[in-house]
Amino acid sequence: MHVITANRLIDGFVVFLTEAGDWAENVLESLVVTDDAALQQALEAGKTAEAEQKIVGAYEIEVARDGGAVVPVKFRERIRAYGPTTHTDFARAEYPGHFDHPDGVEPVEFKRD
Amino acid sequence: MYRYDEFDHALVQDRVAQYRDQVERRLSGELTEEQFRPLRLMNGLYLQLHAYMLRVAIPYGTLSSRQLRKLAHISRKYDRGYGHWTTRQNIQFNWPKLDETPDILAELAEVEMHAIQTSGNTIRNVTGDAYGGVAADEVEDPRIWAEIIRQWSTLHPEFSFLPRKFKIAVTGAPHDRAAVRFHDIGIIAKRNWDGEIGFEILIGGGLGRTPMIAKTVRQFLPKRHLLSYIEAILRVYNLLGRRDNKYKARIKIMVHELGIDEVGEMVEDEWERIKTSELELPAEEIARIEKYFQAPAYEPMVGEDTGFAAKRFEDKAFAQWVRSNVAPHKQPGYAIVNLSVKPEGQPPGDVTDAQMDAVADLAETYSMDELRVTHEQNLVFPYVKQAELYELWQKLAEQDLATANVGLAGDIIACPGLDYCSLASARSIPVAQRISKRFADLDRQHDIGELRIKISGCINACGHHHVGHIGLLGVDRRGEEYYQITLGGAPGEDASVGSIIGPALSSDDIVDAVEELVHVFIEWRREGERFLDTYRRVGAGPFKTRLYEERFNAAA
Repeated sequence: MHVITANRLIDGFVVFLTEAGDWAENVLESLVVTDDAALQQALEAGKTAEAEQKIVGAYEIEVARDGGAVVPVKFRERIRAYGPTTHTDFARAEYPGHFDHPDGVEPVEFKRD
Repeated sequence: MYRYDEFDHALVQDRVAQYRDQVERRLSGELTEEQFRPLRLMNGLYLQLHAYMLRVAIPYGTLSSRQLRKLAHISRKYDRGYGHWTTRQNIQFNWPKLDETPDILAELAEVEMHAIQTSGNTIRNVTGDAYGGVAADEVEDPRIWAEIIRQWSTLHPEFSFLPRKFKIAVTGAPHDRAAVRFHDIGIIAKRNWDGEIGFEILIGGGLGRTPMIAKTVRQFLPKRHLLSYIEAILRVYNLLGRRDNKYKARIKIMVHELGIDEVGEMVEDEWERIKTSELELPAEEIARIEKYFQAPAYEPMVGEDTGFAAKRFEDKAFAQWVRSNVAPHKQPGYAIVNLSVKPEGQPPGDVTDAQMDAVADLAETYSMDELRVTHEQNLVFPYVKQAELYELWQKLAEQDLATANVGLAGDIIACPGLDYCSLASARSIPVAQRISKRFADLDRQHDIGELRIKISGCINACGHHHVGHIGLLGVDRRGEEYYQITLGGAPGEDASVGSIIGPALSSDDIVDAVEELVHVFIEWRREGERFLDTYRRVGAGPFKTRLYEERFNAAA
């Protein structure tokens, strides 16, 4: 199971290819592909979006189902999807335990408006 | 402090206009990402894990209050309200938008700042002793020479496309606070037998995947020859440095493969050809630059200032802060103050916009409008009157910048790591936070004494773990974060690269392991020894035994 991810050109934010063919910040909205043909088609959509100056560097990542949600398998990709584990304000989607740290450490919260 | 002249100002404005045009052409598709990437890197703009990252140059770590206020404004207006001090005395913003970066650079230009050559295969920010100009043990102010090199290296046409990045550091004191022996070129100002001041030039130092200590290529170089000599080194490197393999392209590899004698000969040959060119520095030119760095209007000390001594006696917390965060100044009645940007349990080296504004105000009032950034991700106020130390300490405490831990276990250097960096294998910031919390007790930190813990999230070693007394290197083992421990690294005049002491430990175990290492030190230490001294005396044995035979079975 895969989704396609990239960085948006204008602000560098992490985005995911959706079913509608646009690029969303929340991994939960991503198009999930389960066979190779669909994967190749999705990667082509990525190439097109790059050529249209929407995104850069599209590639596929492995995901798994967790209840109703789609979750990246690799830790690095979870950090890209949910945000740095050090700052709760920069989170884009929710994942239980993403901000849990041992030894009494709390992530930073800036509380900016 | 250095003031831009008109030439520099025009140069930076031109650069902004050029970059603005490049961004427009990228957004319109006229430039592909492949074409644009080297251009944006030349202006310090990276594309990282979550967003772009802009690295702004802070020449030899020196800032005025005015410049710091501008950085605060930029973090507020264009970023997410904070900035990060780096291990090369620069500042990084983690969330700029590409289409706004030309505006950011335009605003920086208003205060004579820029992001030129903070990335790419160019000569990077010249770093120096953050105590430059005020250290009690100083022979020569390194900032004068850092500035001369800066002017020479900025947009140097011959060296804009080097085989790889090139880093230069300058120290003017025998106690090397600039880690010059771990730079591509390290410069040590010193006196010869006749009392004349000149430079020892070292080349081929570095960290990264292959840490190496620089070797001396010239024992003593008269001042006026500094630029021609460095030019000769760069020319030899530019010609012979490898361009086929990114991981073997630094000058340290060239020195390692050819040997310092052969490289030295080539440098000297080239230098003979150019030493009397226009690169030879006339005395008037040196004097002109020296004027920018002349001592400020110090107030002469009147009598013996007993206020300071008395306060230390009365207030234990103040005394503790003085012991770790305040350093001796060459001017009687003054002191060098370190602002710890390592509050307990917090990500090291980050300041909010509010803190930046507050620090700017405090620098204006207490440090003649000037501050420095250290390569250990802290700040320095170089011109503080001893009589005002107590008041300043209280104000810094209000900003959470007075933790009495500089140089101690809580003063951890960490790279951004897997939380932010696309190159990383593991996280480093949360590990730094955890260690900081474990050693939160300041009395304990002071009892342990000097202990420099440095954490890198990957083998590129941006956290400088190779020169940590305790170094941690994050690795990815089957999708899990593990940390390899090195001991005995040191960045200064007693340079040493840390040694790996055993298999990597899990994220769960690593903080306990660091604490065990400290226990071993306490058990073995003699009077007056720092962690590093004890390690050097007893060797890795007791540490290895405790970790790998007694506590952690890391055989898996």
